Amino acid sequence: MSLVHYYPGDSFFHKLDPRVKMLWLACMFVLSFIFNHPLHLGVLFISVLFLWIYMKIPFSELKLFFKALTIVAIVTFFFQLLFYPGEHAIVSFSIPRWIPYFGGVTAITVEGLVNGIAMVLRLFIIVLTMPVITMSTSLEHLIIGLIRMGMPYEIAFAATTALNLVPVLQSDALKIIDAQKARAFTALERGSFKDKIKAYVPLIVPLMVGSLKKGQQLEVAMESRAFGAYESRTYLTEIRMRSIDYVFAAFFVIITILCLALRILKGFGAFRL
Amino acid sequence: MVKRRGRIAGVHVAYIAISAAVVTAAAYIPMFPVIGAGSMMSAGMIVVPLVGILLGPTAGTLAVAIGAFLGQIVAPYGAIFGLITFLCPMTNAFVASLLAFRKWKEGVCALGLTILMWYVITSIKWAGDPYASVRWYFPFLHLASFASLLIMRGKIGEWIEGLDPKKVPIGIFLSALAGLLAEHMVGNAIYVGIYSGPARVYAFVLSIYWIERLLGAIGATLVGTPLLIALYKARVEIGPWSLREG
Repeated sequence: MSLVHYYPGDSFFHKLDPRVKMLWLACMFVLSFIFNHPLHLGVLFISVLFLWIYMKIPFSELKLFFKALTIVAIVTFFFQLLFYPGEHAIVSFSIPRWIPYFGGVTAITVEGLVNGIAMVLRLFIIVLTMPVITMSTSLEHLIIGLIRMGMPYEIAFAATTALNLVPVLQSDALKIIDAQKARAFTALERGSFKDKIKAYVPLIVPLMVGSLKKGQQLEVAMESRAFGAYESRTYLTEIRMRSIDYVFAAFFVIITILCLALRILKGFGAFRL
Repeated sequence: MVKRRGRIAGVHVAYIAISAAVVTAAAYIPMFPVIGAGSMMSAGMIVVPLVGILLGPTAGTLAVAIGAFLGQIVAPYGAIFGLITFLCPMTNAFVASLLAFRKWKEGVCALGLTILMWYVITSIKWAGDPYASVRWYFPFLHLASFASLLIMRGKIGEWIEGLDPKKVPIGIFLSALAGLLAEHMVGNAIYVGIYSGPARVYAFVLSIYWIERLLGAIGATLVGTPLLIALYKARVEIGPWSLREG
């Protein structure tokens, strides 16, 4: 599994409070949702790309995302291009009706093309905004930010513990697969489709039973350390909202509300022919 | 009722953390390709409803939400719905767990609401689309599952809780299928809502989605039956049987 890494830095975005970054993420999501004009979505997309470059995230990371999204983006674009109902034809043709699923398509329309571009841009904006936070914030700060936003400590504890356990479980899964291979059980790799489905049983059952047995041990360890004995907790790392954080939080909210109001009242960011 | 520290809805945080980790890890065990989407179905499809069935509506849904949210944060390559991607598996676990924990009325309502959500969103987004009629029969399997839950009523929960090797698979299959279909409905409603998926695409999806969902439910049944029995025998204090044992 290729994980997104934290890239320490001293850019203004790195220094922002994790809560403000979360707010930015929510605002970007709302903005990308309310706009359907490629121009407006393009501006949002460029702003996200700019952040990636400004934060000095290695290009290889961006490449991984583009690689993962290429097929989804192509499928989304072509579905919109061919199937989006429109009236202004760019190219007219006729796919015979007997061709399954595509039969009866008669034209590529301006609406289909524009919507295809807009949806691909929206896809990239939505997917590329989240890693900006993960890459600019340490997990510790992110979790404390979530706690400060009102997330109960038990849930934050579960999240951090789970994150630390994922590599352990992945290693357990590999060990189970190796143990089965040693017993000449290779259905997962070489079996037929039916065999492969069945082969997940001896993989997932021991993995889950083993994990939940670990859970029992963890429960005992936590109880013996009086987990949850005190209502309030202190943390090794503290985060505090600075004036600049408030300024940026207000900026993100005002811009989003303004765009939303303009979209509703004046059709700002909407594509019309 | 006395609040037991370190527990959420009676389940210790340790189990929630471990289950969340299992959900995150399972998302990276590939199962089979999704035709036309360029992605792979993962073992998460099997694990998510099972975590719901094991931990219950509150703890199970929370564990899946944490696991899926972590997955989309640490490896967001496939999180095409961005921040809200985790809502889909969360709905899956919620519906499956309600049915397994004898809350069939709530489970039926939750599945029904996802179907209603589909009809509402497609009615808005597909207004004027000549192929919009596909929306009425697209959730045929969801409606069949909804009807089966109304017929079975509380039996699904009883079968799973009873741990009778002949009845447990039916209970797991029906609850996992309902969960997977609720997830599917939410995912498609979000897709149409966010990416304006045209109605005509769904004529294509219609011909394959039912295979994928049935395979997921069969996988969950094959894994879930021995898993539930093994966990009960291993005296792990989670699972629907904890209802009868208090």
